[in-house]
Amino acid sequence: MNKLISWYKRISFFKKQLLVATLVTSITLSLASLMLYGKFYTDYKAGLMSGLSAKEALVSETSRSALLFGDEEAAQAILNSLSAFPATRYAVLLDNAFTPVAQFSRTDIRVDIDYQSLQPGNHFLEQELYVFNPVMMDGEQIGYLIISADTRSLAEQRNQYIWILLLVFVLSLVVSFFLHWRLQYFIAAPMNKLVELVGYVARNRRYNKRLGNTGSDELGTLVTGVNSMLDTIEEHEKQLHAHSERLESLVALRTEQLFNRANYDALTQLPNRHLLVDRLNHGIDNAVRENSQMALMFLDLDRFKVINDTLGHSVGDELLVQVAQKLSAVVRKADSVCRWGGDEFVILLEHLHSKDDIVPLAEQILFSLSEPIEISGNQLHVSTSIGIARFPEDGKDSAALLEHADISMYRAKEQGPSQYCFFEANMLDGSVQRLSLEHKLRLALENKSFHLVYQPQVCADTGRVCGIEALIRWQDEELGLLNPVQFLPVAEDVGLMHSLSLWVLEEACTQNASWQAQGGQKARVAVNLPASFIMHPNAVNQITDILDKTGLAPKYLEIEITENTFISNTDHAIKVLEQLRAMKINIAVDDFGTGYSSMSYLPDLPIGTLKIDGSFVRQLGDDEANDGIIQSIITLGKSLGLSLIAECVESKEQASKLRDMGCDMIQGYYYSKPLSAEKTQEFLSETKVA
Amino acid sequence: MNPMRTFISLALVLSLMTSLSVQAELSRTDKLKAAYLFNFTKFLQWPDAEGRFAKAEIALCLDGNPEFFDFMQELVKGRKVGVKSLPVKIKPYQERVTCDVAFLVEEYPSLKQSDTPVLLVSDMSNSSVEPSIAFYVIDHKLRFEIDFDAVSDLNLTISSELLKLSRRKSRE
Repeated sequence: MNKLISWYKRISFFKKQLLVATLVTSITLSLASLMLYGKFYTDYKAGLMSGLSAKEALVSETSRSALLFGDEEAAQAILNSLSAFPATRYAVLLDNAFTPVAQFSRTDIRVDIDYQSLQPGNHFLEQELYVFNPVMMDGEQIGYLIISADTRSLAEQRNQYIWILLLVFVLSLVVSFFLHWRLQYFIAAPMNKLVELVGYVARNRRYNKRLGNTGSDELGTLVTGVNSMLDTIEEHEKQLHAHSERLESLVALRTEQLFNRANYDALTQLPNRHLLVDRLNHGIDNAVRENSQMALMFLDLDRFKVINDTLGHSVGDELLVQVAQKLSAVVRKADSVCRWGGDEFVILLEHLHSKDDIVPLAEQILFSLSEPIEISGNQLHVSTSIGIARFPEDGKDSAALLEHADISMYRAKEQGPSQYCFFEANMLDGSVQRLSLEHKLRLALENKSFHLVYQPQVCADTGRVCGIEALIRWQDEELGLLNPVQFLPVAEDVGLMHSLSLWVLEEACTQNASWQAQGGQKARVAVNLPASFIMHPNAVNQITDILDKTGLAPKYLEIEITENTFISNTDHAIKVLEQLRAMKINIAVDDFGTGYSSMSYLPDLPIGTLKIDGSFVRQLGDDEANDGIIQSIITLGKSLGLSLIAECVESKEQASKLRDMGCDMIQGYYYSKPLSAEKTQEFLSETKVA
Repeated sequence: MNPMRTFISLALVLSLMTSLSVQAELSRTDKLKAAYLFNFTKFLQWPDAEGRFAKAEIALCLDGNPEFFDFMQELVKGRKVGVKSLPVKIKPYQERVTCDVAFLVEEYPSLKQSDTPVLLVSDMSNSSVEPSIAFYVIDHKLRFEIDFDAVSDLNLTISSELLKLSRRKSRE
């Protein structure tokens, strides 16, 4: 049954319809056949009975005279005439007393009915027919006649009917099936087209086909509906397609943007380090294949951090953009300029023949960047240090080339601004030293391995000590005594400068407070603070905290800053310095005269002292122009009510000349080299304090 | 005589005479003759006449034996015959008595009672009469012979059923 249901579900709709129609037809035909059979059967039976009845009437009519006159021969002759009818089984003519007058019967047929108890009329008993009626003459009953007939012909006729009906049934069914099948073909043709269309749509996802009009019947309405639906879907599909195209183009755009973001520097639009490494690897492959050379230039802008810290990130960013443009303009088309990060750039030079190809380019870059750059009204002088590593001499892979170019760059930087340097194998030692230095620096800060030395500042007129500059020193077990110039740039690079400054500040204040507490002469201690410290949001609070913690009066603290402190965000710097000034902390501008900035803002600065740079002092007396600058600085400072101090004074002549020029304070080896805390205390006790 | 046939014949007669009271003196053959005479009227048809000539009864005239007469009268009492359901009237065979059928046992000269034809019935042995229907006995069975030409002369219609049972007489 389940298989039948499953089969029924599998076959097509048209076959189902055909099947149902055939089934209905066969049921109808069966019913009609049954009814016809019943009708035929009963009619034939009635016909048989009526035939027999007619025979009985005829025999009755013809035999009555014989019955009346007791002529048995005549009666027998009449009954014998029934032998012509094969169905007749027997016939008996009886008088009124049921005495047989004549009798006819077939061989082996016996009178099988009790006619005395039989009611007159027609009887159908046990598949035999009986007609039993009185014989009448002029309204008088003169006897009885009974005739019995078999129903063999009925059975034969019934079988014949069955065969005929079966034949009619089968023929009708075949004709009906054929007609249904043909009719369905006409109905199914448009339906099949519809199904075909739906299949086409489902398979190809295309909605361009339509069906022709098939009329105004339900099928026509369906076709019209499907066509209309396809119109809508096609329109919708077009809109979707357009939308999809827009989305795809947007995705392509976003992908390109993502690619650019992943591979290009957002600020300068130069390839970033990721793309550079790709190109570098590719370039190495090419160079190996073509047996050519290539080189990697690692550039780091000198003093960029100062500019960034002082003039702000926007200026720094603009500077980077202009530097990127300059670099791109200088290099060949085949070369790649990339931003490595921060103020570092990498230039990849391919298809080189010798080292000599590199030098002109390096010099051109240095020259190009040495020209001042104007940003937001500021004339900025930047320079760069270039480290150069070559393939295949200096490294076989990208990592080695980059590392070696980086090391070379540091070596160039050590040689001063605007220098380039080719990698040499022995530089690896220096590089290791720098790494070691960074590590030791961190450890030193944690372990407080630094110490301060103090260089007295003596009043030019009186010879008394008027101040002490605290200078940081680092005594390493392996490296020995290190100067600030050796480790402060490293501290700045690795971000330890602020912590180091705080330590120096606290140590100097503690020491001065200690001297004062021990009854020593009270002198002002000067601490150098970088611009980054002053610009720190918590600078004032941190200084206040240290003064509170050490108990040193603010007036015994002097903070030395450089001109660069004012270059960027002048307003904020002034605000910080004003707060410090208000606390009675003196502000001195260190290395005055070496900066690039304008002096026009000097009157507005909350400073108390100008410190003439040692480079001027060292040339004092050798160069009139130099002396003029010193005199100008002193005159300027005086005119602004500032005190002047000269550093790096090593001779009596220098001291005298400066004093004659009007300089207020002298610092240098002439009076004292930087001293330890103990020696300083001794110096202070020996020398009067101003 | 076959006892079975005798029994059948008797049964037939008895069935016809269930209501007869007068029967003692008559022989079985007479009684059969009486029944045959009555039955003959059922198969005869006289020509149609209109008005007062229309037949209102069938007159059966008898002579001789008064027991037979009575027996006949009892036999036909209340019974009607033919298509027109006419009663049968038993009359003595006399002058001026109108007869349709006359059964003559004695030897009479031919009577002329009326214009209407009379169907004469007699025994074969009665040589004085030329009957249209004559009884005779064969194999102990009463049978009759019909003179078809005489009947035709009488302008009577006689049923073929009757003819079928009779022996046909030839005048030659």
